Amino acid sequence: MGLKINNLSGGYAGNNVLKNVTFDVPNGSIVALIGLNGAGKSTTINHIIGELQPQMGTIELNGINLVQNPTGFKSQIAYIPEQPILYDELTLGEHLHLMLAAHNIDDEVAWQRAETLLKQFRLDDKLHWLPIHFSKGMRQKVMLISAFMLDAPLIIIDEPFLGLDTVAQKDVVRLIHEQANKGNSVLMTTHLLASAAEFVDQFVVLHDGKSRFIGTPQALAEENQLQLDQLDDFFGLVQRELADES
Amino acid sequence: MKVDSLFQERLRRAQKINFRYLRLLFNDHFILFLMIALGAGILGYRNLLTAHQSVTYWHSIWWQAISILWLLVGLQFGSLVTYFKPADRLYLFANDRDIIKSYLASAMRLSICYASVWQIIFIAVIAPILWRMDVDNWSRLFFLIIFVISYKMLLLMYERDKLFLKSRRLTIAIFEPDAIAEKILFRFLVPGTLLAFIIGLSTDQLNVMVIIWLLLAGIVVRYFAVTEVKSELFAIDWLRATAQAQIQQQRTLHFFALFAEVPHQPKTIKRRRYLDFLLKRLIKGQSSMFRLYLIRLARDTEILPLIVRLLLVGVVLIIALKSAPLWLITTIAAAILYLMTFQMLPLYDDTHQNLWTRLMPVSKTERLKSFASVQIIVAIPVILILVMIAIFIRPLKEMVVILATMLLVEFIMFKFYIPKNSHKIKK
Repeated sequence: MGLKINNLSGGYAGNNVLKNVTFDVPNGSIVALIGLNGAGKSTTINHIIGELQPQMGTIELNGINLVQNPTGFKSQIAYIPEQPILYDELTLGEHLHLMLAAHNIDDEVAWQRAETLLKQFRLDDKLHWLPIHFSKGMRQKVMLISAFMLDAPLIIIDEPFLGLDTVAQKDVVRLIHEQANKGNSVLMTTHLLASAAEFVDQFVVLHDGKSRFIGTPQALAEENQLQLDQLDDFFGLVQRELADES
Repeated sequence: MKVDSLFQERLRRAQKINFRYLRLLFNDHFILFLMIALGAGILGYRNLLTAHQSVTYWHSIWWQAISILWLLVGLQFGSLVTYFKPADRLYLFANDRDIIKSYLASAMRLSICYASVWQIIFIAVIAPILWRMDVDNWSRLFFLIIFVISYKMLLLMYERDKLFLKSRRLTIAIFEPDAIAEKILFRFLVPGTLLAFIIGLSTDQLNVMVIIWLLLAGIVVRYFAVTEVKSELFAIDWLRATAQAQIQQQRTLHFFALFAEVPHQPKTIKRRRYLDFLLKRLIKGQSSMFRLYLIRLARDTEILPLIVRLLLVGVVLIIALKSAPLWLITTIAAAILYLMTFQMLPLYDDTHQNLWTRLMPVSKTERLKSFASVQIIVAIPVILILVMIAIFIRPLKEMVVILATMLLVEFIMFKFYIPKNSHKIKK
């Protein structure tokens, strides 16, 4: 089943950004949402996490409709935003416990997962720290730990590598693979197409609020006569195309 | 824009913002608070002045101490207003000389005006007591006013001096900048001693003191004055100057936030480890939202101190009005409970503003229920303390009336007020 976006139209008040966007993120797959700035990636994600109300179309996750059952839908997702969001008053440990409690997840079992992740991201000795003491990278790691410990059926990651050191970036790729192997879906946005091509199953190219291409990285590369490791040039091609059109 | 008009421009903008907030304030709960606090205060003060006619009562050393303490509290009001912005560090740092010469000079004039108004208000309030303490000669009272205002002016000059990199502070060798000892010395010990002299000295001795003080103040003013020549020698410590301005601005906003909603307030938190033990016990087995609200409240630097201050005001008012009619005491107790709940509402809204909260799979009903439970956790000690105070000063049956009224108000808050005022939350 996984995530099904069907004919989604919507956006912000008075500004219809998305026009009939349709794509799936099947269970166990990794899908990357890509596009130029303003293409509609963030708007799509804001719709999926329930921050925006669709004007048309449906969003379903494992058969649960977001509009009809927002609480049931949200209990299945873990979201890592581009900019880390934390409560200033809560320590790292309290953030993690809060997340588990809100998702009704057994604290003890999930805490073992959390501990492993804390060690992996070298934050295991900082459980009593408040966010004010964290660097930007550390804040991003807290978001990653909070999301991955949930083992949620859908993980949404907005720019997963932003602010992370290279060791942490590799860890994130490994964790994404682990989630997919467990049968969970991963939806991410990225501008680093060549790096993402190594581990994503599908790219969804958004342009001007519409889904312009859905397919494997190989298919995207072939369509644009590029090698896989040249995929970062894709946006340059799109921009040139736009300039020609205008 | 020229540097000298920059301050005026900022002053105009700040006044515009202040007027906007004042309008909010006077349309809001401030009126309620003002009516209760002022009414009760005036009533209590009048009772105090009329109830004790004996001279010996007012000549007690305690009244001297209270008057001095009151004036010392007044001296803390009116800080240096510079309206510096964090970006000034980047945009104005190349023009220190003009900033010192014209911008800071305007800032000083304005700060002295504001501070003088504060001092006059504080003296006016204590004047009837001073009169009864035999400070009933006009020249002594006049010198008291001159002394307080001039001392405040010197304090402001001293504060301005701290903004210079090449600070000439006399105490620099003794104290670290902004050391507590420095504050105690210049803000309490020195003025406190001098005030005691002004109140206690004979007229002849006072005349000598007037001359000494005028000479001394003149020397200090000359020392701290920034002349054309001196302005060339100094540079502004921009980090300190912008931090000081931010703190000053935050204080003003905090005052408005006591009674009206002030948007975009910078947020600070306090860890308050000493509350961890209590928090652990209270959140055990509770919902995630209950935990979240309670922990945020416990480490908040605005709402919790505000509730504590409100409670203290309530306690002081009830004690001060021990002989007032029952309806007044009951109204004060009920108003404190209402204001406390009103002050807690931003916690609900602010928590919801965080995307993390909105992503939690928790329904609005559950959130509201958890918030109302936290409100009860806070209301219980407030009710208990106010009722306990009432037990000591009022007959038992009146205490029952106060308790019953507070419980009724709490019921209304829990059942109707909180759900109604959560209208902003749509999801």
